[in-house]
Order: sequence, then C-alpha cells, then structure tokens
Amino acid sequence: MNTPPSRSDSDIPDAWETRLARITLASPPPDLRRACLRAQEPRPTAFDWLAFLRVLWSRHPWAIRGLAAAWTLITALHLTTPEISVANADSHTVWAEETLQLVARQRAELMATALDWDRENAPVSNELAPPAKASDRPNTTPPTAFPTNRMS
Amino acid sequence: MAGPDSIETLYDAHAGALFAYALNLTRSEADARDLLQDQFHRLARQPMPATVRDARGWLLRSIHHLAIDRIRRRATRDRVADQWSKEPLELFATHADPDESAFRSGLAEALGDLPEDQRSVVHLKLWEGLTFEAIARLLDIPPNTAASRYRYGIDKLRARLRPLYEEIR
Repeated sequence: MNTPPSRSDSDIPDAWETRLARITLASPPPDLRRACLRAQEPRPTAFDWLAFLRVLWSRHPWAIRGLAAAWTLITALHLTTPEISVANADSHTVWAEETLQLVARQRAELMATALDWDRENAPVSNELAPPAKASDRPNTTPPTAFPTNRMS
Repeated sequence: MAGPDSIETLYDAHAGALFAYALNLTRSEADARDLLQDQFHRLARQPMPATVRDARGWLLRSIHHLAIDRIRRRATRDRVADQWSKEPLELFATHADPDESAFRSGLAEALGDLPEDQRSVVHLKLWEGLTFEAIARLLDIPPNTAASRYRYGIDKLRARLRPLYEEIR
C-alpha cells in the first residue's frame, strides 16, 4: 500500500504528515536549563577596593607604604618637571656661562683647524708641484695595434 | 504570552521547541546547546519586547537567525558541514519499539539530507504546527515559497522513507 498522495500545498496535513508530526522531539538535556538561566542569577558585586586596601594594610603594610612612596615620588617628579614641548625645548634651554664659553672656544679651534687644512690643500703651480710617478699618470698613448677584422 | 514572562517561564514553555529546531537546523547538539544558551543569555540582558504577542514565534525567529549565523560561520571555518549533517542525531525521543526507533533514526537522517531552507519549513510545519502564513512571517519569505519548500521537502522525505514506512505499517 502506497503512502497517501501529498497535499502539502494545503495547511491541512495528510496521513503521512500527521504520522511524522506525531513523532515526539527530543527534549533538551536537563543540565541545559541551569546553563541557560545562569545569566539571570545575580551577578557578583563590583570589586570592593576599600576592603581590599584594608586587608592589604593589615597583612602587608610595607606594600602600602611602598605604593605610597612610589606615588609620592612620581607626583613630585611630575609637578617639578617643566612641561616643555620638544619644538620649544631649544628656546627654553638655559645654558650655563661656562658651557657657552666652552662651545665658543671649541668652535674657534675648529675654524682654525679648517683654515689650516684649506691652506695646506690649496692648488699650487706646476713648477712647485712634486713630480708625479709615471705609474700614477693615466696612460694617454693610443694602443699601437688593435685587433681588427680587416683582411690585410 | 508577552514580555513580562520571566526567563524561567519562557524556558519551561519553549526551550524544548527551540532546542529541537536548533538541533534540526545545525545538526549538532553542541551547537544547539550553544544557541539555546545564547538565546536565553540575550533574553536576560535584553528582555523580550512587551509588544510581542507570540512569544514562541518570536523566539523561533530569533534562534533561526542565530542558527543560520552559526551554520554560515561553521561552513566558512571548515568545509565539513556536509559531513556533520549526516552524523546520527538524537533529534527525536527514543522509543521502545525497534521498528519505530529505526523509522525515527531514518527520519532524522533524511531530514539532514534536506537543504536548510526546506528543513526549517518542514520542521516548523510538522512539529510546530505553524501555518504557511506564520512560517512565511517567521522566515521573512512569501507564503508560496514556504509552501513550495515544504512540498519539496516532504516529498523527499516521503520518497526516502517509503520503504521504512511500508515496513512498519
């Protein structure tokens, strides 16, 4: 006996569809309910920093003192350090008088050295120039015989 | 049933249907569990709007979108989705009669071979008892499309399960 013809265009199920629809679906696993409803449970309260600091003070006072000292130092450095942007740092830099003199002296010495070097390396006349070695001179003589393809 | 329902009430009333639908769509119990948890965690953060008149429909629609997203991500992540869809699945309640049990296993397997769009319509029509109009609203498709998908799906199931069906009649 064949299965009844399909009448599935209609909202009314036929025998085959009714047969399928009667099959019970599996239930969700029992542990899933708790997992799904866990999000509704009250969430833990925010971290109690005051209680944490009290416990830390009572059990590890050195840690609190160290933290306080570090914080004080950082704050003091922050407050005493002038805030100068890098672009303006040059104009705000205060140079010591000795430093300025030292820089001026070094500059003068450097200029003198440069002048000496210029004087020593200035171009000289041919008569006074020392004779160059033959090997140093470029060979300007044309070669006497080039290999050619010409038939002679 | 509307917005003021507690999550426990919503779970007890609809979790079975939602889990089965997610299981049938994703063909993976782990994914169905994840989706159901995701669904109820979302509800805990953002309750169902008070204007919702059909809580079951609203929840089915929501879990349908979650399931489709999951299936797409899974298909992108790896290409074994087809293989997963053919794994034996405990979609139906167990039955003492071995013939009936075999028929249910065959039906679960045959459902896995249907395309997702047909499978979802077949599921909603057969086991949720929704009309094509309701299915169309839920899936954002025209009613005729819902009807044709159902017809194709149910005919495939009929052809596939006919030997088993004849045997146990």
